[in-house]
Formats: sequence, C-alpha cells, structure tokens
Amino acid sequence: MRKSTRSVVAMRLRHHPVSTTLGCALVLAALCAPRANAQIAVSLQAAMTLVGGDDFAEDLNDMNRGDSRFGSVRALVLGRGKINDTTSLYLEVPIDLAATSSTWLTYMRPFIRMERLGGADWLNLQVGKLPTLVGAYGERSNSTGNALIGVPLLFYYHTAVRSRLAVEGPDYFFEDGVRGGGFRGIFGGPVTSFQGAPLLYDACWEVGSEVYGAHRGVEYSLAGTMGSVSRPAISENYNDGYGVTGRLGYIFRDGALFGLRLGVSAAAAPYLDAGIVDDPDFPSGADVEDYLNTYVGGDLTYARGPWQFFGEVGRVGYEVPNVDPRLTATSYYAEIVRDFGPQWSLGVRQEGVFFSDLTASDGRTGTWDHDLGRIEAMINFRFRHGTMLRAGYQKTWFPDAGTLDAELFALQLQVWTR
Amino acid sequence: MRVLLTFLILTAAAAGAALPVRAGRLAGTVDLSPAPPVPRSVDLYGKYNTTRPAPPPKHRPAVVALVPVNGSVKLVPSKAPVMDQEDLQFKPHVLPVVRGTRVRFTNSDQYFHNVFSLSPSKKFDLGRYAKGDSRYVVFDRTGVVNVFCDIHAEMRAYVLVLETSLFTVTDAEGAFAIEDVPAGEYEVLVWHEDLSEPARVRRISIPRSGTTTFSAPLPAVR
Repeated sequence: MRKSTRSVVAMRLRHHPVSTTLGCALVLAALCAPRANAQIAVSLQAAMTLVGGDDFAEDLNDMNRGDSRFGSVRALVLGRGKINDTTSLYLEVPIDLAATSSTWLTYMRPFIRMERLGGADWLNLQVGKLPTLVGAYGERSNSTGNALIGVPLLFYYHTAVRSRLAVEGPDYFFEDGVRGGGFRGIFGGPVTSFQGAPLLYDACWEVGSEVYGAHRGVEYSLAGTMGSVSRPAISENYNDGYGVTGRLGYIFRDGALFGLRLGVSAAAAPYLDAGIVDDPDFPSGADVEDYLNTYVGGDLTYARGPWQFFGEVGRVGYEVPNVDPRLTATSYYAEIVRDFGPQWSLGVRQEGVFFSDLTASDGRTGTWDHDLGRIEAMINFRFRHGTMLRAGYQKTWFPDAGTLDAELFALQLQVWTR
Repeated sequence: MRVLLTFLILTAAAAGAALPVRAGRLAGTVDLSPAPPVPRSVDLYGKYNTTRPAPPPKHRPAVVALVPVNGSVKLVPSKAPVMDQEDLQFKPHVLPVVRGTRVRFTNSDQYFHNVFSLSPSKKFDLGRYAKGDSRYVVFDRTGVVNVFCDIHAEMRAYVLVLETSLFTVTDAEGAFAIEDVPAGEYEVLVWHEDLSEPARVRRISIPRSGTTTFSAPLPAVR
C-alpha cells in the first residue's frame, strides 16, 4: 500500500531529524534568498565512465549504496546560498545511477558555514553534514582537478568489522569469507546490504559542528560529531554516543618549502549500532558506547612546477566486543601528479592497508583481515576548460589471498561548470 | 672626419627635437554596459582558505585599438607588462599587448597559483609557483587568450594580442585616449570580454595634430 505523503514526512522526521531539518532549512533559504538579496551559485560536475576488467575490481570500489567513482553515470550538484557576507549555506547532492534507491534526503549534504566569527579571521564554524574532517583527501575528493578516479583505500576500504554484528570472539575473523569479505553485504548478502566498516569513509559526510581556521600558516579543526570516522552518522545517531575529531596542520608560506603542507588528525567515537545490544553475542552489561572507533593519522601535500605530491598515513582502531586486543588497520597512500602542458597530466597512486594480528582460540595467528596493496594510474586530457577525458588502470592485490586480486580499466569523460 | 661626423649627428638630433610631433590623439568613450554577475564556482571543501576575492567592478573594461588602413605601424613590443595574481584575482583583468610581447606573470599571494591557457592563439601552463616568483610567456600570435588558474577556478583574465602598438584600455567609465597616433587612416577596433575577437567598429582619420573624438557603444556579441 502506498504511504501517504504525511506519513512519509513523519517517518523521515522521526528517523532522520537532522537531515530533514537541514533540508527544510535549505528549501526555505532558497525560497527566501531573492527577498533577502542573497546570492545563489550552483556548479555541476558529471562523469560518464566505461569500465572493463574483473567484476570484483568494480565491487572493490563500491561504497555502501553501491555507488562508485567508477559508476557509469555520476553527477554532483554543488550549491551555495550566500545569506550574508559571512554566512553561507552549502549543499552537495551526489547522484549515481548505480546507487540503490534510497531516501534521497539523507544523501543531500547541507551545511552552514559561518566565517570570521566575531571578526576574527581564524575563527569559523560549520554546522550540518560536514565534508570529511580528518586528513587532507576530503578537500580534493570531488575536485575536478583530481588526477585519479578511485578513492584512496584509507578513505573507504570496507574491513571485516561490522558495526551491526556482534561476534562470539576472534574465531569469527578466521571463518571462510570473512577476511576480504568486507565488500559483501552483512551476513553474506548482496553488496548493498551494508558492507563492513570502512577505514575512514569519505562517501558519507558526518553530522556535526566544527570550528576551524588558519592563522599564519597554522590550520586547526575541532569537531563534535554524532558518528565515528568509520561509521559517520549521516542523518541520525546510531547510538547514544558522540565523537570528537581534530586536525592540526601547518603550511609553509615562505622560503624553499613554500606550499609544503603537513597535518596530523585524530578522532574517537563509539561506532556500534544501538541495536547490537540485542544480539545474544553482545556482552551482557556492556554498552555500545564502551567500544570506540579511533583514528590517528598524518598528511603531507607538496607541489612545485608541474609536480604535485600527496601522501597520507593513518591508523584506524576498532574496539570489538569479545575480541581482544583492539583491532587496528594501518593504511597509506602516496600520489604523484605530473602535468605535461595545459592539457595532459599523469597521476599515479600507490597505497596499502595492513591489519593487526589476532589469535584464534585454537592458537592460530593471522591478520584480522587480508592485507592489500593497490596501484592506480590515470592519464588525463583536458579538451577545453571544463571537459576532461581520462583513461587508466587500477590493480589491487592481496598477498595472502591471491584469488581476490583484481584489475580494472577505465575510460571516463568528465564535464563541469565553473 | 670624426669631428665632422659627430657635428652632423648632433645637428640632426637637435633639428629633430625641434620639429613638432606629427601625431594626433584619439580620445572618447565606449558605452560600457553593467557587468553581469561573475559566476563563482562553488567550493565546499577548501575551508582553510578564507581569502575572498574583491567584488567585481561595476563595468568591465573594453580595449580600443587602431589599425592603419594602408601600410603598417612598426610593432614595438609592449614594455615589460605584468599580470599579477593577488587576492585570488588576476591584475589587470584585461591586458592588451603587441604581438611578440613577453608578459611576466607574478604571484603575490600566500599560496600557489597555476596559470594556464587552452586558447588556440596561446596554450601554456606555468605550473605551481610560490609567492614572489614569476613566470614568463611570449605571446606570438594575435587573438584573445583566456587565462585561468588551475587551482582557483574563479580566477580568470584575458590577454588580447594585437597586431598594432596603438591601443589602450578604457577606464571604469569607458573613457580612453590613445596618444601619439601618426596621421593617417585607421580602423578602430573595440573588444570586450564577451567577444571572441576585436570588432572593427569604424574607419577614422587622424590628423597630424589635435584630438579626434570617438564614441561608440559596446559591439554586440554575434
């Protein structure tokens, strides 16, 4: 039976109060903007991609909704409504034809940015669904100047940990299909029926509030969040806990190191879904907020002439009920981009993920997920301002599970407006 | 012999200095229409850079140039023109130069810029360079060169490469003056940034002295 509009709205308000409120605020702002003499700007990015290679290679690039940077047709609508000189309402709407149909409202990403609070250049505030808060990749995640298609493993790789599943103990991670199975849905279901907990997760923005700024080269960010780095709360809090996230950076503004940018990030928050307490394997008397998802990482960016270099390394930790010690995963990526004149560029990224060791009840020891490495290379040709054709290759390999190795070839046409 | 030669040269120089300059002046106005809003790309992610570009001018300048109808004017490359990058803007926004001119692109901002152009008359990419550094481009073909920054999408400027040394940029009110114009018949070219090339708007005669006035609306975009 078809639900009435009223009941759908009521349901969304109950389950997605933050995004519903922000969405309504956005609509109201759009309606009021002409009267308030506000300025509205809209940019559009679109990409069409042909992919060849192993099917699993495509799965390996999938996000929770089945959307992927290698998806056949993707678009991104970016909007900004300037409310006054210091306050703007931003909106990102990602569209991916491969994504599962879902409550579209939860995937709208509205946030309000208030700059120069109290007249201080270094004091700014963002509230809403916030772009990735840790590391440096988030800033160029959807940049049209990005030389590669794929997202670094550090920012999405789906591990064997699941925030909705209580396990009996370490033996779970040694069962067939668990390690390397983070891209399968929960309980072996289809990919889109909720994958394993990512390392970080750039695909979903976190609801929270962030103060940030830069002064004399020092950059800082401190945010309170509803979710964790691996389980961002995109619309509702999945447990009763809250998280804290921070980044401290420095950009050299003089001398030979001009432009060198360094940063360290850290975060901690509970990540298990509240419903997990009903699982018979969940420790009695424990609370989901007792189990933290943590992150510590560093980022480095440098550019000179036709060269650009990006590198990050981070360690993600998961406290898992009935599993000791804490599970960790360390991931890095190093990316070099070389421009050849105004039209051609080449980007290459090398990356890896390494999981901590775990001992099963029978004494077996191994990593709790399969280590993996990846290389991606893309050659880009810019026809004209706002039109780019790129072709490339991505190979992912698992040293301890060679059957999972996967290759992918891609040809992408990208267009964007100013 | 050497003394005689020196005497002749000095005499000739003195005589030349004493002669009146046989050049006229063209002055007037171009009716600048109000500048449309500048489209700004939406940057959700670059939160640390809170530099805001200065508001766009009320009017966008036009370039007025004179091309001789018969014969040609000796092309003298423009003197050390500079296009700076400051506060997320190219300054000047419009830079007319003589074909063959070397333009210096400076960076006065605290962060990298990457100047490039995909225009057929000059494709170039200067890469990322620091505050205080410069890069040079020689513009050796006539035409409109659209200049961008690869890092800051909202930055845009124009280099107009001309086959004449007789040109100027209007002020904010559209007023202009071209000095020292040799007497003769000229075509007046007017260009503004909506045009893909300068428009020939009128033929005009410049006398040996005095000011010739000229006014015109902005050429329509075809």
